[in-house]
Amino acid sequence: MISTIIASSLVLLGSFFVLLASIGVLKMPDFYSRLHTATKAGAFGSALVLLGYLFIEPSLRVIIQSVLIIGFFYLTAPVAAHAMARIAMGDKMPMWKRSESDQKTTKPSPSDTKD
Amino acid sequence: MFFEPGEIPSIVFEIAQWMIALSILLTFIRILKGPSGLDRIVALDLLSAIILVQCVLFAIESKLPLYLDIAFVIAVIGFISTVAFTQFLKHRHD
Repeated sequence: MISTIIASSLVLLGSFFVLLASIGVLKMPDFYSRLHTATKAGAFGSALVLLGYLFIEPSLRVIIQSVLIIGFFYLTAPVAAHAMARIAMGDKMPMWKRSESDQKTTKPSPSDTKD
Repeated sequence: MFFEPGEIPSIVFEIAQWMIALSILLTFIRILKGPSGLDRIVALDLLSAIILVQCVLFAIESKLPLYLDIAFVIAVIGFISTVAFTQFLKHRHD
């Protein structure tokens, strides 16, 4: 009985975080905050759902695979986000008007504009 | 294992499915509306995470752990396509 409660709450929480991620992607004013919400909440939501599945079928195969997926997602989400942010900074993507950033004053480093 | 496996009631499953459907819709709106190509890539990256969650929900519903392999493949392909897209959109002022 207890594992059904844990499993269903984890699954609901995980899908709720995924919903939050898509709401954040829609509502955020500029590219960088959208990137921030998408990769962070998306990875966390799927990790929660996977943990929820762990409580439903605790066989060895599911444990190994869900740990593998969560680990892979947590290793690669920052790399993807970094790649996107780097390209956006390279193209001097405009920031939200109210976000203070030192990028405006400093010239982008020459390594950024190199092809 | 150390405790008996749980069973998700179908109402919880319905709510989770509806949430995933709504988030797919919202991500599509961002894909259509996104001012620049990079916003679309962010939305597509999130879409791959959403489809991964959908795949895990399928695994729960159908009691087939096979879907976890599919979820892993989706994660790998989502990551690689995101990085490939960024290199594609480099220095394109759209």
